[in-house]
Amino acid sequence: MPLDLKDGRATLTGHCEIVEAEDLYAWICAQDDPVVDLSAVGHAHTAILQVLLATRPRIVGTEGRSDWTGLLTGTLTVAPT
Amino acid sequence: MNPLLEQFLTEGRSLLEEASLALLALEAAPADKNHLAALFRAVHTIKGASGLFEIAPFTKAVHAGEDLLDAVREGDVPFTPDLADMLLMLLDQVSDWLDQLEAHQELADGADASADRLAAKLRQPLTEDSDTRTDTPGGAAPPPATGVWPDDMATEDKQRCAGEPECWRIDYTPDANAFYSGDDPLLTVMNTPGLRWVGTVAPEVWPEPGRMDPFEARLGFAAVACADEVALRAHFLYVEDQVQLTRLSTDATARSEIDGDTLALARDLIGSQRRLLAAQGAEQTAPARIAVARRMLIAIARRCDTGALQDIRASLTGLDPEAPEAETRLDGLAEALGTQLAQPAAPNEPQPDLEPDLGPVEPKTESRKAISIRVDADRIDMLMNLAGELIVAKNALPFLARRAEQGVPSKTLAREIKSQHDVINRIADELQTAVMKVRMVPVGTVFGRFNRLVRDLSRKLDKRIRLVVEGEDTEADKSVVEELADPMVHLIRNAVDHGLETVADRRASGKSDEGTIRLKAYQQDDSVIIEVSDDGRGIDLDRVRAKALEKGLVDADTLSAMADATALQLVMAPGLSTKEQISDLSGRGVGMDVVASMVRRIGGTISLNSTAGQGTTVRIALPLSMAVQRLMMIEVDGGYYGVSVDAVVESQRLPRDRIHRHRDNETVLLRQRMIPLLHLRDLFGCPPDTSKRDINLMVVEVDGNEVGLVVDRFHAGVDAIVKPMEGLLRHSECFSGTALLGDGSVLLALNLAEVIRCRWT
Amino acid sequence: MTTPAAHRPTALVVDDATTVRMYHRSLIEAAGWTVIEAENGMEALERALDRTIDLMLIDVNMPVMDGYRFLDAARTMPHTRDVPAVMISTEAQVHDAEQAFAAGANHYLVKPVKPNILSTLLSFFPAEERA
Repeated sequence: MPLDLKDGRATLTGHCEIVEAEDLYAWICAQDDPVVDLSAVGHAHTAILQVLLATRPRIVGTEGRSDWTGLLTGTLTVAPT
Repeated sequence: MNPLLEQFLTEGRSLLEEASLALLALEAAPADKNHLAALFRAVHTIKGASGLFEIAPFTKAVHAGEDLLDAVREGDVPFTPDLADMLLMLLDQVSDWLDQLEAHQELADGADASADRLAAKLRQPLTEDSDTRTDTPGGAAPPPATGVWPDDMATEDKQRCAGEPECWRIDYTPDANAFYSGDDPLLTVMNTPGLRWVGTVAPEVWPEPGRMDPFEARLGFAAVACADEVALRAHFLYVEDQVQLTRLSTDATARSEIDGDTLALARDLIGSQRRLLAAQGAEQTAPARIAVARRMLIAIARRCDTGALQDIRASLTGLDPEAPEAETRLDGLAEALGTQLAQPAAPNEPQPDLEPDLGPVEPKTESRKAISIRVDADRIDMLMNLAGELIVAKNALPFLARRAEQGVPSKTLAREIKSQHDVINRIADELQTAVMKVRMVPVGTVFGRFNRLVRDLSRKLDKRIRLVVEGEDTEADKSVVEELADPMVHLIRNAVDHGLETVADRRASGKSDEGTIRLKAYQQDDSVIIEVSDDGRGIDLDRVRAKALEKGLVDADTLSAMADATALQLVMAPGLSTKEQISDLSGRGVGMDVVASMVRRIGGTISLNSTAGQGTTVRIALPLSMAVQRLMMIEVDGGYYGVSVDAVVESQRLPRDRIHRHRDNETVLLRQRMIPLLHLRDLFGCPPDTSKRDINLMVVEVDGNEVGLVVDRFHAGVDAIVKPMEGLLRHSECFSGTALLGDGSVLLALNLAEVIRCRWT
Repeated sequence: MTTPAAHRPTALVVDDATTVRMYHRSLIEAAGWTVIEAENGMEALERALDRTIDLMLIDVNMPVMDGYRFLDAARTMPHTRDVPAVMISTEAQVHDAEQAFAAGANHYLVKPVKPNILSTLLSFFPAEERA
């Protein structure tokens, strides 16, 4: 289950598809202080990122995840390969 | 019609024109990458625009053409005449489809099938030749780096791109329903080849919580990638209508220096900020004034920073506008900034960053979409400037009215009004010129389509033809140029079909295999002259005479008395065709007579010149426009006539005994020149007036010939719009037209070329 | 966040003459900006309420509320107080300029503003200038 919603915390795991965006959005809007845990997320669909940017929940688990911190702050540097 | 579709039709046709020109040019010079690039770009743009409408067959066929061209560009498929034929077929089909769209707002039934056939044909070389790749170094030159680096990209990140051969900015704005099409823009962006940087582009405001449709795409991306264009375009192929690629400059030295205008304005602005800081304004707005002065100074420093202003910029940014003494410190910084900008920038200064916003702001070229008439931006600017000046001039009038109320002496007032009149007069003149200029388009816009015509004709008739175009930049009024196309098509067909010989015939008469058709345009006085000439067999005058007699166009007596040059003009008489074999090109009936009537209808004249065995030249003279002309007014036997001021060399009053007579010719010696005289009274059939001791002489020059016109009286010059003669008078060749004067009377404008011809014949 | 490609800087053009507004609009739009127009100071104050404005071009003489009074007021309003403003008028007298600066203008130009001056002026305000 890529999206786990419980006790005020949403945990995204692995590859998150677009369908999760709807549940995630509804859940975040219903919470007083939603927390989203991204520590185990792989790729998430644009719609998920869009939900996170539109609602700005508290994000945890992005330490060392420059891709997610970058995307959530708006700019992301990619090392040349 | 839907304005968007209308726009597409206009733009599509103009692109088609570009494409066929480029294609023909490419056929002539297959190695020229510029023609190929132009062709590809035009086809590519048509395809892109077609995606906006529900015309899938259209897009499909053009897309196939684009892919083929891409392969040619890459050197995978060689460019051959067959391939050119195929592409021309595509362009023809597209042209048909555009016509259908215009007429019915949709493609006709069967478009699908034709598109499939065409696409299959166009894709054939792609599969065939995949293993026989040529080694031509592929690709057109990459486009110039005109992109602007994303605002948020850190300088270090930009620097890391330095030295890369190609660097691109990608702006990806997904369609609202992109998710439904299965797109995941984030995934696409993250997998971009050579990706260096990604920025999210959020809408200005997100919907209220609970109000957002999470499946509607609102988030866009900006990205920077160091990869070549082809790879990037391929990567974004399926969303290319939502993606914009602009090339970025990675060459630090290519950054433009700050130009003079910017520097001058920057200095002015610094002065203004200091005055703003010093101004005695309202107490409560003082903090705002300091804040806005600071903001302006930061903008100036940023704009003008070539590396030396970093300290000042840092101080400005760090300065708290609410702090005590902020005003004084800001003024000090402004002064320092001014001093820095007063010094010429040191050359070879290290350029540590790649900040993009230093170059001049270039207006986006793409915003100049095709509309019905393409107007040079300079001309619009000129109009705008004049409109501005007119407003200013207008503002002086209430002031004058006030002066009049105040009882200023009428002499003073008259002087002031007169000087204001001078100003408005100048503006009106310039406005008039500017408006006429807007309507002027190069005749080349019509010439362009003849390349194709000649090519097709030459393939069909198996004649070898070279089309030479001269003076395509010559400009004429839009309506004149538009009307030009039809008669010219007939003339060119005639030249190819009847004028030029087959290769065998040409060889037999010792000519080169390749025949030449020459289109030449130039301006002569207020006319545009268009010449269509060929180096073919010329017109057989005996046949023309015989035919004219046979068809009963003239009687035998008239014909025998007719000079060759005049007899030649019979070709333009209705119903005379000398080519016995009717080909499918010129067909029956549409001959020179039709062309001649077309030309006359648009107020032009047409004449023909031919030498047997050497070729034929048809010369069309058309009015440039209905522009205002400045005319010198002259009086002859109580009537007023106008002479174009441009032609007037001088006006003189001379004693009658200065006239020399030699046989029937009269001349005067004026400044070592013999000037032949022409008494306008003679010309107009008025009784001669010998009562006065002096004659009034106006020396005019036409085509390098000077003639002295003897008139009764000179009058002031007038500005008038000369309209061509209508009705019965239209055959009086001595007059170019009529002009209405301010008092309602009518002035006849002299056609000097004809008047002088009368003098000689 | 990066400025969206579709989001352009915005100029507020305040002038009672339609032609002047059109003139300025065409020049400003050519530089890729968005233009908001107002016929006088009062209208300009209303127009400025719901927009982020990057530059104001203000005519001096206008009915209802003239340029000085408008600017004076704008400098007290939160969303316009630190928006750079250029006064544009037909009179080139020193006195007018002083009055403009006292009202909080950043610059003073005389009509008609030359296209190159205006486009150069706009180049001082790239999109990122907006905080």
